[in-house]
Amino acid sequence: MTVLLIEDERALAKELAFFLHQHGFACTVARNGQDASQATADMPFDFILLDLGLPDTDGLALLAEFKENGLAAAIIILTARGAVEDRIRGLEMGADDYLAKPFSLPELLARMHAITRRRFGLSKPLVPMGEFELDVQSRRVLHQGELITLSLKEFDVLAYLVLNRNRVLTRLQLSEHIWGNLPDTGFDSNYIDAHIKNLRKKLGRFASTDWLETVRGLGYRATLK
Amino acid sequence: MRLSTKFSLFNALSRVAIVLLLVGVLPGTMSRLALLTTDQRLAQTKDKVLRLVYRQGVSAFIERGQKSYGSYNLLKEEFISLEEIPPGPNINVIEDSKRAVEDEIVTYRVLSYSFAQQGRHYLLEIGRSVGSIGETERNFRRYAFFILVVAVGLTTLADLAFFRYLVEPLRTIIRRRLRDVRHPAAFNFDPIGTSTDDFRYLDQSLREMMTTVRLSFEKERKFIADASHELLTPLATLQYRLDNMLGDEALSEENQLRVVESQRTVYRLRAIIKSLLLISKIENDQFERTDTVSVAALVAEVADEAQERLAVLELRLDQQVEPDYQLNGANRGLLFTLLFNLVNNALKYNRPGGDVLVRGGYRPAPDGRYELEVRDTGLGIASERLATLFRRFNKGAAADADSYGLGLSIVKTIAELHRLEVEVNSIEGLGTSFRVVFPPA
Repeated sequence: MTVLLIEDERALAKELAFFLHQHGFACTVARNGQDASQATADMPFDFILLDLGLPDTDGLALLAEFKENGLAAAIIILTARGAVEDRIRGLEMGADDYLAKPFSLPELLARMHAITRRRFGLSKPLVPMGEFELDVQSRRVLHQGELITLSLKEFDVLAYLVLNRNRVLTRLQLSEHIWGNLPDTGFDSNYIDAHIKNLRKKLGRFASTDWLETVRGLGYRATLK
Repeated sequence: MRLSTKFSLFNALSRVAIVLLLVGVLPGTMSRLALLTTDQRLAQTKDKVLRLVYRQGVSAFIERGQKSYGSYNLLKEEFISLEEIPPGPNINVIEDSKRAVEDEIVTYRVLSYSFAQQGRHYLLEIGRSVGSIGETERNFRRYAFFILVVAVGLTTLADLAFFRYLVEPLRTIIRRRLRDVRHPAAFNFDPIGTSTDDFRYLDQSLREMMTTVRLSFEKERKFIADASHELLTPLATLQYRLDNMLGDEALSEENQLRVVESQRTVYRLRAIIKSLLLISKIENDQFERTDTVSVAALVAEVADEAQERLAVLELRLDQQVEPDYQLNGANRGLLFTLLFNLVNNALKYNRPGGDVLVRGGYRPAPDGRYELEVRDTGLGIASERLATLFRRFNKGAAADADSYGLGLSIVKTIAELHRLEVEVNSIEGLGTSFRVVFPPA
């Protein structure tokens, strides 16, 4: 899939592009509004990651321009401006999602996957996970068709690990994903350990959970094909 | 006390003092006045009688063969007497003296005057009864008192009206510039119309100060926006780089651990910046307060959010919000943060298997205000720490590595924005109670 990253901070753009490239996205970087307009005229994109604070134009104006030109790309607004009004305006103007900087890269990936599912529909709505299946849309975990009851947060942890499969997610990244909407009171990573313990217990009754690995000192990983 | 009240009080008291003074002085003055008037009248009567005597002779009064003449009016209030006397020194006095009239003794003010006519000496006496003088005096006093009261009343009213007119610009200044103006965004810069130089100067100075305050608020707002961008953007770069490094399978295990440690540091820095910016934004009034928030609903929402943590920590949370309370002009998100921080602390610093009570209700009279209490059965806080509990970066000994010491500062700032009070009580080893007290209805 193709991504247009509109970001004026060179170092930041570089890291984001590197990450997207690693996850199989073809990434084009535009450093200002003019470059971005040019790029969208040149080729179609699946995703546009739009920084609102651009040197030559307002990001929201650019968003309006994209919508006016009928671009099909899914647009995610990335900005350090965390103001709710910006967020609401951006979404009202047709953006698909909004991430306040700094966000974690696995979070960005999860959001992009969510948009892909929502917009394009997955050919297989069930994501295989060992002997289990994850139904992201309806937030269910199944074992040979049988439903396994998980708490909301347990499901969030599991789905995040599965969407970022074969990649270590630190406790901090997991905490932030689950409680990112809550005030910063200091995430207690012990909760993550408790959730993983519960997940292993609940899923372990049905089949092996060896694929849900603890990576010592780092965090957890869902090692899946 | 308001200026106009003070002035009215002073005005009324000074008038009362004047009235009292006059009432004290008036009787003496009035009797003196009545006496003077009487004496004057006696002298005038004397002159009239003498003119008659000179014109028509004594015989007009004293008939032939008689030695004297006397005449009373009907009520014996006045008399005139004329009698022949042996030669002697001249008499010309006015004094009080008792006279027998028919069968009673009456006290008169008597003018005695001696004169000679055709070689004979006469004594003229003209008297006015003291009783009738008293009557005159009482009349004087009545009229004077009446005039006094009317004068005092009229001048008091006139003074008050004028004073009100005079200080009206001051009242406008207070109303428009100071009352209910909590934030520079609500400043009203319209000049106040007045012909009084002092008020004009006061208003102008206030407007200049308000301009300065508004400018510094705008500068702060800009600084917050800049700080958000300039501090968080490089941090984002750093964070993405660390995220990418973690995804590098070639990275040694040792270096991976270092990266995780760095990630923690970046996260910590980020969380501190975000918390400080949140406090600054609240203080800079960048949050709208247009929500009506039900305390019971808020508690339920926070309790719901805390469910997972409660289960993990094996704690119980009891909600007792009875009756509910609706806070108008609030920011729901901020109030959620306030309560969540308190509940989160109650979880964090509890003992295993402990309880958290979230209780809402009215305080007993005479206080009567609504309060929301978050009480835990945890470690408690040493009494010497309580005074500085809400200061920034104030961390207790029990705080873990994930604590920044900003949670309670945020609580305090949000509370102040909503005009709520926060009280804390704690017994070491038993637990802590935070009470959020709502403004009286």
